[in-house]
Amino acid sequence: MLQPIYLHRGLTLLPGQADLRQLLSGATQLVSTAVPAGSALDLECHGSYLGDVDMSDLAPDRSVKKTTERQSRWLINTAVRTKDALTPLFSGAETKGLYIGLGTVDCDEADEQAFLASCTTQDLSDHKLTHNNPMVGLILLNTTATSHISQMCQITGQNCCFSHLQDGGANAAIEASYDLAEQRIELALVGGGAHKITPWYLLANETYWRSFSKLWLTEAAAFFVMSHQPSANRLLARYRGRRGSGGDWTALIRQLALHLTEWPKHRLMQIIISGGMPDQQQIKLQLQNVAGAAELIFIEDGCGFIGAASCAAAVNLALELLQDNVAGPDAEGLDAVLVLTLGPSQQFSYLLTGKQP
Amino acid sequence: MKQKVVITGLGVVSPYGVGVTPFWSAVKKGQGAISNWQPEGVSNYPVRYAAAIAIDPLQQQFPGYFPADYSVERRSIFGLIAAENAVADAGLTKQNSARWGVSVCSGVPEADDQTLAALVSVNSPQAALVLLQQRHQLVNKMGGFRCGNDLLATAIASQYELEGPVLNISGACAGATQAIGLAYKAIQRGEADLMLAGGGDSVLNIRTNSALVSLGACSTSQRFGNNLCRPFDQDRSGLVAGEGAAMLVLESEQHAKARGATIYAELVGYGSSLDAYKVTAPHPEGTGAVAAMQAAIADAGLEPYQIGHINAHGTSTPLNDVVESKAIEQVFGAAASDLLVSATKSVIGHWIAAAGAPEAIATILALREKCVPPTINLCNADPDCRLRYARTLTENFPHQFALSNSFGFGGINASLIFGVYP
Repeated sequence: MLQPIYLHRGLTLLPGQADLRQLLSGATQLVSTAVPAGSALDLECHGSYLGDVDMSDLAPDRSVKKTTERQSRWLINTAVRTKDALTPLFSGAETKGLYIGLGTVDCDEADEQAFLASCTTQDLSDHKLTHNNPMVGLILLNTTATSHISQMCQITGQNCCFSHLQDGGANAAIEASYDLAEQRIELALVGGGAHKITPWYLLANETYWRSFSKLWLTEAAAFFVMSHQPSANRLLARYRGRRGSGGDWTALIRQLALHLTEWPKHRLMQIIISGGMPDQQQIKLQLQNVAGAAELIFIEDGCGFIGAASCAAAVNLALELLQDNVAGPDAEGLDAVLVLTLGPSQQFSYLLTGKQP
Repeated sequence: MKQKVVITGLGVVSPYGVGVTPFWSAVKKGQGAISNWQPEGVSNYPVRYAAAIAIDPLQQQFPGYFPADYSVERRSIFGLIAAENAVADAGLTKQNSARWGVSVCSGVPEADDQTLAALVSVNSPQAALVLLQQRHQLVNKMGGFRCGNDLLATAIASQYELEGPVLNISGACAGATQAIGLAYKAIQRGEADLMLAGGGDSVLNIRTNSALVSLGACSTSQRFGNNLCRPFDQDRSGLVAGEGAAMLVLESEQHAKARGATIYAELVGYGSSLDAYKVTAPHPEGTGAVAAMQAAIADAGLEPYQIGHINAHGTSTPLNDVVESKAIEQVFGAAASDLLVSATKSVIGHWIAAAGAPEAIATILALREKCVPPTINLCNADPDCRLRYARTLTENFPHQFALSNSFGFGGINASLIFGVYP
């Protein structure tokens, strides 16, 4: 018999240490400023910035300090602090896995500025060979963060890191859930991080941004834990697939309806959607028959576009909602929250989370 | 109930050309792809040898994969052509692709050297962006500024109208092996009937290659000329970069047999692990490598002695080759002396993110043809590398199961086990 997979809330890192639920309710707001590179691409783009994080209290060793930059530090900081907040879980699991949605890493802008002054490929070569930080190869390698997290959290089991943007975070969560279900691991640390907001980030995803009516990018990271150790909340179902030609939602809706019937005692309270910025109206239309009375929460309305961090941030929010959901006077049964991710590859995926029966 | 997973199509873009035949023929003969190389327009670059692909003939043969709007870059071009090659090899059509998916690892798109160098007299990244907008022609056919990290995965998914999982793996030098492993698991659990899996990469550009040089990872020796890549040899001095792409078609046995597919081999096991050690070096005891191999063997339901051939990660770096050899000894114990170990990188160089894919193909074809390809340039084995290495093509070597290793920067480890399909 398959063991249940339980979900344990971790940390979501947002600018100004903002709380996602408060952002979505409008109680607080992120500071955002116009991104100059956006105008160069004819994009109306605002950004909310994290800056750097202080990891000194985590006592990273020298190799970690020398081979990280701020984007990887967001990930490492959030992962390690999530693990520290859930230490008993980690102590109780013999085999642990690591699954992360990663961005790519640009140089810090100072270095970009320097090498862009080159005139010829010879100049470029001479400059890079003379001025390269010897560790730049590891700094630029996005999986260096994975290595540091595994070292600092002592995770040695099955693992995989994924890109790109929301797809990366969603695939990390789904793959972790499968490895748990297939008993390749007993615990999974799952999460993801957004990109630094740089001109290169805008340019690399230019085609995707053009589907957004308004672009608000936010730097963020988020992690949570899945394990066989009981908690109040479970993973009830998961699914991923690519939308059919013409953006057809049929497969998703059919599968979700099926999954909901498998948990008849659970009542779907909220659907948290990430990657919905391009067309919220279309999404509402597609979900109307299956959502019932569930509240639709578009995560980017509260925190902006956070890419590969969005699935884990949405799961943390779902777990918070499950904990705090107050049933009405006539309500019966158990609550469920759906975390739905729409990715740039046209993949959509969901995690159905719910209270443990 | 777990589905059996079989391999029904293979595709390669390599320095030998497009297709499995020239690739495998060269690997069996030990016909090295490594030759003199310098970045275009540069002299006295410290790296003098690489296994590079001639782009112009490729563009003439596949003009459709070199779009005029420069929206696809080098790695993804290789990967898309390899995918087409694999799909054709498998005899597939796009019908019924609703339960097909893709799982790949490709290196991060890089702007080509000429584009970077042509950004003259810019004093800020913002100004560079404006310049690119105004001077679109500077983003030439191999440019990567306008490409996301997921370009290969999404392009394959779109081209073949896939509706299954779309997996874009970031796993350093273990990435393509992880991609194949995840594709295997997806089919095994019934999430997909068929997966295109593999990778494409190139680090033969100044920005990335110079970073590897600065790290001390690449060999800058000129001592052995084209024979510079020397896995397990006492005179090895670092990795020798190559470039290319390889894709495999993985299917459930049921799906393959229903359409009468030719089956190359069965994929029977996958394992991955993390060293949880320093990012700058593999764990000295090879604990992660041991764990990955043991996980794959357990996943396959095998005992170590049942494996006859290991296609090693074998990078020709001072650390990896010793650590890997010791790890193999630890996993296989007394049975290690019966193993025959090969290192495909000695012939084709190190394809970085894509490396595991051509090596998986070499492992599969070795099983099928009952042989083990050579590890070339292995003249004097390092005393700490004590395994039985295939120094020449070993024919008449029937073996039921073979293992392929990939160990990435930062201690990301992955192993695959293939078996003869009866």
